[in-house]
Amino acid sequence: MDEIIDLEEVTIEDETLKDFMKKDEESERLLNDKINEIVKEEEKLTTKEEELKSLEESNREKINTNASADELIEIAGKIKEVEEELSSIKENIDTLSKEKEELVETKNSVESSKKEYIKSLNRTSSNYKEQLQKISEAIEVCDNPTLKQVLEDVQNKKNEELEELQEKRISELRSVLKEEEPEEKTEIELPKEENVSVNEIKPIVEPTIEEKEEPVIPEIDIPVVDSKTEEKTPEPVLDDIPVNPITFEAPNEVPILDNNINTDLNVNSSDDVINLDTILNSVPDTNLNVINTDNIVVPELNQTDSQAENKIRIIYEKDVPAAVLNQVYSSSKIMPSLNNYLERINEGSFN
Amino acid sequence: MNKKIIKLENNKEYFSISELEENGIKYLLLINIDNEEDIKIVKKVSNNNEEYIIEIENDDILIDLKNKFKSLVEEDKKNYA
Repeated sequence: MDEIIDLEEVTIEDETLKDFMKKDEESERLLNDKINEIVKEEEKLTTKEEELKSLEESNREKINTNASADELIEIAGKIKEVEEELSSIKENIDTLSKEKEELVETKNSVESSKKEYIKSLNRTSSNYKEQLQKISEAIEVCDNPTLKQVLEDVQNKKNEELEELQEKRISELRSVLKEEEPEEKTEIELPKEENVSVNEIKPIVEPTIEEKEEPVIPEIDIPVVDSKTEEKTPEPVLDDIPVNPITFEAPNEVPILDNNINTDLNVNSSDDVINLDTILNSVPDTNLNVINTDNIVVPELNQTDSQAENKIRIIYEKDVPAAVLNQVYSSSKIMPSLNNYLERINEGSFN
Repeated sequence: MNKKIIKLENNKEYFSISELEENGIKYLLLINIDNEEDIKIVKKVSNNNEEYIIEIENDDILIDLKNKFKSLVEEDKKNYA
């Protein structure tokens, strides 16, 4: 499977993209037909040249054997005929070659236009995100409930349109990326923000698809979201205390702590976490931020060699639109495989 | 919670179909985009401003996480399918 969803199941709804793909196929077909024609003409040319050679040879023989004038005239006539046919075939081949060149240019132009259009979809997607950002900021500060409702409706509509765009982008980038070598990832260039206030809600200018109509021969930039520019949720702070929290073993020495310190382990006691109950019962209430580590024996990190080997760096992360997720969850291949994996507990085989 | 496509330095791409956080550690349920049989549960860590995944190999932990992910996936399926 090339894509998380079966590409055959993806329907490309964008009419412009469909047109591009049709034109692409058609220009490919025409080019192949033209090449075949040229090949046939060249074969004809070869045959005629051989025919001419044999006629000329026959003519020389006739001359050497003192053949009659009629015979010589007849052969000369045939030679002239064949020469005329040869020159006409050569002209045909020239014409066909020129047509072939034009078809090659057309095909390249269609290809570059298609790529340019896909790029414009990326720009459109960025514009949508910018607008959504402004709308949500306006909603936060808006006191007027009617206005707020209007803004939320617009926001929902924009979200839907953005999801559709992202779906098209992912599927089309996939098909294009198969032909291209991977390039360096680039950050999405965001347009400058405009100040939006509640009292002066400016009409939202929708990005128009007509912006695509200026094909420039480009290279495809893979619009990968740089994970560093995304909003980060706070990462676990357990690096300072090198402990595997699941298999944490109680320290050998019980620390001396202030009775007023509250637990800050953030654990839902209803969760069925292995060994955590043991930990909670054995270790007194602690606030990890104020604990005096001098009295605590912290177990060493039990990072196995295999863990170090399995540590793999993440190059990038991309969001997946809801439309694609719908297809994933209704896929007849993915969900059974996933359920099979998650239920493989009792059999004793683990992945 | 946003679902993501993740590309790793071994050039494999995975779909992060579910994510859970426990004791400050993020665990991901990944499916290989090119091979739906390649499924794994990993934990996500940060080091020097880079993010990494580490495969879970401890069987007890894996059992527990599988149970948790199972209910999360069921929940998501109702919302999306």
